[in-house]
Amino acid sequence: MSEKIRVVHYLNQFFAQFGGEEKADIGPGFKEGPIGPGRALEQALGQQGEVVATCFCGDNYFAEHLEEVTEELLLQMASFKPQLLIAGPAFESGRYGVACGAIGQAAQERLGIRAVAGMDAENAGTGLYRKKVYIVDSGSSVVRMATVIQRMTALGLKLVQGMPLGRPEEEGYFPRGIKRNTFAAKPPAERAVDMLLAKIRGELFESEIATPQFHHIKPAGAIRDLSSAVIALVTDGGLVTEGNPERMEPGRPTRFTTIAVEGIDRLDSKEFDVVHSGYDTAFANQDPHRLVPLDVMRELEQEGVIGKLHESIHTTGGAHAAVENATRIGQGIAERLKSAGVSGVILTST
Amino acid sequence: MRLEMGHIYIEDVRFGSRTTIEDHTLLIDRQELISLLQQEPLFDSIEIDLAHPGESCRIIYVLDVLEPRYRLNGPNFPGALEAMGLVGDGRTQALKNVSVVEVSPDQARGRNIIDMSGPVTDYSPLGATHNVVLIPHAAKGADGDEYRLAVKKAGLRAAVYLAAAAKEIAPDETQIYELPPTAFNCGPKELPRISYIFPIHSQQHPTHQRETVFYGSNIQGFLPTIVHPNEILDGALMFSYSAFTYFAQNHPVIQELYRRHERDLWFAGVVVTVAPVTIGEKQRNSYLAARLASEVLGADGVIATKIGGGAVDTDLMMIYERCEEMGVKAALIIMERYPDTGITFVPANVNALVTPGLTRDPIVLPPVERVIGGDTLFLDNTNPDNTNPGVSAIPANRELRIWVGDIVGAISQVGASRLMTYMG
Repeated sequence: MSEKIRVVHYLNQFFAQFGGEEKADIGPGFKEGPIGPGRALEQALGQQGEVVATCFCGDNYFAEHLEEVTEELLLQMASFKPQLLIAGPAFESGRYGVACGAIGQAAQERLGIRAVAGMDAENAGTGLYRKKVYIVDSGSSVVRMATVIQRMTALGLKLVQGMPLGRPEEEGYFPRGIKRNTFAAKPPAERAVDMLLAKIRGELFESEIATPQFHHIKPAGAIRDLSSAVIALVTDGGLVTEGNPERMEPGRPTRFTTIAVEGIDRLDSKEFDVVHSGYDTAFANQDPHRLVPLDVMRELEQEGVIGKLHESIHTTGGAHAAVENATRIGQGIAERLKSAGVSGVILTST
Repeated sequence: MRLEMGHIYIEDVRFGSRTTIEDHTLLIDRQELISLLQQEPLFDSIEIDLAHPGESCRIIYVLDVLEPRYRLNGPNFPGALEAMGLVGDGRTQALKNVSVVEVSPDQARGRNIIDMSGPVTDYSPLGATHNVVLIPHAAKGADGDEYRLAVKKAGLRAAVYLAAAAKEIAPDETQIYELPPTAFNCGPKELPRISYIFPIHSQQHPTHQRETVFYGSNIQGFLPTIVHPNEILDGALMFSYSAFTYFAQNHPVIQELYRRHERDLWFAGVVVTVAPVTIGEKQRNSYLAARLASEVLGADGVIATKIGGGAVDTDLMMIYERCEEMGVKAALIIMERYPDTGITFVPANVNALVTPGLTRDPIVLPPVERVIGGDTLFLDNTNPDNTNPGVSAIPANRELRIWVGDIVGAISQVGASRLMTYMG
């Protein structure tokens, strides 16, 4: 018989049986074995796992000392060598939900174990942590405790055992914003025709891909005096120094690099390369100015149209960037340019 | 115009002393086929291999795939292989359950993979066909682009050569594809008129000057035009990249519109277009394509697909918006690539998207006994996302961790796919 999966359970002061709101200030602690809803958890685990310890903290104390409490709980949790953390369910309680999300994410990232939380859709913790931690939809009523614990346990066991997960609605967790493939009952062409005919008939239909939501970015104000402005060149077209010594990724970038151009008037094609998987780079390789107009910018600098060209070109390869990485790359470049006193950027894409 | 597609079901493919079809077995005179293809001066030599369904066999470096076809009343692949002429009418013989697979060693295509057994067969129809694999070796000093075009031409030649064996054979089944001229293609009022807008290429990777994509044209500067859907099915089109010609010959959208023609819709024809590279050209082609569908074909609704990378998403969205502005309802088939990226260019009013699946979804292929097309692959087997230059070569027969999108025929942008996605 295989060994039982070691599970740690997180509860707030109420479910850990210290008391209600009046005990919300108690600090973090640990007890061996299950407490309160932990017994339902133990039952749900059956022969497959055991609750080795329960950790707890008052909701207010956790909210006010988020980092310290997380640190302290992780430290103690590690000594129990768990494989799975079950946090909650917290139902509608917002502070409890946030605590479950925080400890779940920390346990995953720092102890390398799996975590499952339980919360109501309206819980603040759901919005904050659903992309990081699997959160089972608990609904708002504590009456459903046993059912919710069963769902959380089933999901947790699958995660630990590396078994494939079903759809969110089958497993009962909130979608995490990660797309997955599944075999379809009908081929795409048939589904497309079905959708189009429903649309024409004015019937209800649902697009298979939701419209992405982007943050609105307020454009910076216009530069009042170009002749004293420092202008920088930035590109996501994959300009690198010859031979790509920094191994810039031609697609799916995770970082940017800089090319020093102080005292350089032209980008010699022998000294630069273009790596980018999304377009034909032959023309930019022949003459890098087709990608990054250093030559023209130097002329404008000479003529006094602009004050000064910034001393380095910031560059990355833009193909298929994950929005998260692209955002981070953009913020990184913007911070450096801003601290260097740059007031305008020529951004060339492909 | 009427096309009679004769389906000849092949149950086995073997090498034999002459090329013929006997009792649903295709026998191939290997030497005759090699001699035919070896006339190409850009090839040093050419090998022909067979891969059968269920075999522990992997085909790598796949360039294009075709279904063997022979036209009884006119030229085959006119402009690309044989003399200029027209296709889409008369009778064509099609060898079902057989594919011609072109292999050409090029690092970028290494990950175009077909396994003849294991999980691949759940995803792609091409793991379940008897595959006649062409492995042409480039002559010394052959230009890379010219060699690639020669390999594709060899594929056409082989597809015609094999199906010519069915010249005298009565088809097991005949599929009729027939639509009247547009002016008479009206149908009853109660059936919605549906057209298909089909961008066949994205010039973000420009076609070669001598590339034969549409009736032999390199489609540079191509303007939207109306074609008969039968032409797409019958050899007018050979994809340049990012799609396999097998799925033009067996086009899922065209076949679906034919299947439902006169039942719950009226198939109102096809507009072929190309995704250009500049904004002005993109605008022009999307305006013209939508206008042709709306005012010339009189469509109530349009299905549109794309070929190419993320850049052509913009063209597809423009086509959608122009159609809707003209009062034509639209639905798009658009492939998803990364689990965390989504489709970047989706205007707020676009509400009818169908996904043939997510390409960057990891899949593990078990080891195989035999590999056709090469011994090694340039692949980071711990992280298929790693496209860093300098990824080292690994033996191609071992367990591989690749993307579902690397499986030839698993996710085609024209809608050949068994997949859909969900937000997990």
